[in-house]
Amino acid sequence: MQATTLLHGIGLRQPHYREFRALRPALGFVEVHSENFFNPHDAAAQVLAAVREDYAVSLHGVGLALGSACGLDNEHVQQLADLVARIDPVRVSDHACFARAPWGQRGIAHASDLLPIAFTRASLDILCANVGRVQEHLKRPLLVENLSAYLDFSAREFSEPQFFAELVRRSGCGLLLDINNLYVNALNAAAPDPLQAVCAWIDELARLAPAGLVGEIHLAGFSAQQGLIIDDHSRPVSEHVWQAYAHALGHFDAVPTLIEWDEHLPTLSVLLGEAARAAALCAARRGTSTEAAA
Amino acid sequence: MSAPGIAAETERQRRLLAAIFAPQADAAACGEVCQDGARRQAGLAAYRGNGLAHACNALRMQFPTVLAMLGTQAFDALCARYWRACPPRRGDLAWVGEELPAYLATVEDLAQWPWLPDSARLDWAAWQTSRAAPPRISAADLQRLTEADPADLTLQFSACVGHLDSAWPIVTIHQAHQQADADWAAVRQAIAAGTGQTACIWRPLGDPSAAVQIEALEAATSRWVAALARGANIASALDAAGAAFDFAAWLRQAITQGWLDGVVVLPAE
Repeated sequence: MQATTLLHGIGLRQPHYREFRALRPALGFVEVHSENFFNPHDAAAQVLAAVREDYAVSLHGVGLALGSACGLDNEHVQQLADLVARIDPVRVSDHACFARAPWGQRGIAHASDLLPIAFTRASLDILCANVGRVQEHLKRPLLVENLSAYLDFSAREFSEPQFFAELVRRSGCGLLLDINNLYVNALNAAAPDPLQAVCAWIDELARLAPAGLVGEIHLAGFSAQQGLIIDDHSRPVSEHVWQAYAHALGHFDAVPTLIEWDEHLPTLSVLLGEAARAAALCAARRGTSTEAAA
Repeated sequence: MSAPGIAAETERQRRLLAAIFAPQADAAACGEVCQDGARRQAGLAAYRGNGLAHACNALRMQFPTVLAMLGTQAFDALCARYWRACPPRRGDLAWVGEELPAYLATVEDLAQWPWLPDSARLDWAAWQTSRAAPPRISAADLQRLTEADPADLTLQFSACVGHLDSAWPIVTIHQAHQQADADWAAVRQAIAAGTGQTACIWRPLGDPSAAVQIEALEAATSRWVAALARGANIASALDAAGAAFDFAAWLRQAITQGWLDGVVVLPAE
């Protein structure tokens, strides 16, 4: 099942475990949330170990809080390192967010969410230092994902693509490009042409950043809730996000691509159908690249 | 890194986090953000809702008995109060319920159900046991048990088993909430009688997916495990347990179920 030519993957979630293991679909990798597998002794750990025998695993974290100015949780970093040692994942990623901050006598509070960071020089310094620490501990590069943000800090010394290009240059990490997050941000910013805004973001990144910086792409769906577009991974990938994906492939070539679906999980076949569409776009891109090279 | 820059980012992040955990949504408290008016309120509400929803989902898994006792609506309201009073310290939600039992003891409007904190302790012990490392007992430990004086030895429990003393019939309450046809009159009677129980919580050896077992210990076994938990030697613990305690039967079960990490020689006094 570990076909190195396949670049598309799905997020493996608990309701699909049994069917997935019975079906053994052809995929390049599966993605799991790192924190759900920190404990090496529970039933989930057994499932992941069995899946790992057949598939490459991409570990995607939601709790490192890499942009936190108060620093990282050493125990969390160690647990991630232990998981990486057990699973030998194909990629390790987390988000360009903060979640931890000082909290009076309790010491620290963790928001259990992905909170926005300011695109300032100080914030970049913090993120680079924290990413560097994790990479040093894991002895491997991280991929860092751009956020869907529901609030943006006014303080800003970089555009978001500039910020990520600097992060990659200074820390040696890669970028996990979440195209749905870009689209959600464009919708919430009431961009006149959200697809165009996303493509412009991708163009700016491609212009600024070194080749090969995008190590993985995420595609997902979203929902409208109480006046906002929420990146809840609850729907099929939207047509505009598919178009932006094709645009990104034009810049970054065929890149490992994940279909994320976390809420209102569909049947496994629906999820695999979305992954197959990503695979077809990657294959088309590869064909185009080969023709150009010839 | 410039110290003033780091301090400014720390304060910026602290303010947003405080606005997220505040009892009332106050969009002005988020700090300097680009959005204003209703859009700012919606953004703050999204963050307040996301973090709480993640915590609630985890707490429902970690406290099934408390959830069954309170019902979904009241449990979710309790989660919201707890989440704001005791914000998580870790990014791993497996630990989000760590302080809930102690918090429940401080909630005045739950005082009419005084067994609730102990029921929550039982749920938390079961959650922890479901994630416990396997036992480390070796053949050398068992050999020691046959060769040394019981007055020189003690037993170390593994993380696969836990014991919880309560002044309330917490096992009876727990079991009633697992059954569709529970005998609620018997539960009420046990509560009214103030019948305390010691719960034994364990995970069947070798199968992490097996359900955690919970049973009430009879008095002699309860005295035995309490003595061992205090660090007593085996001979003293047997004295505390009394003649009714069947050591051979208990040891057989302890070994087959993985309740022991070791047989330890106590330092000479």
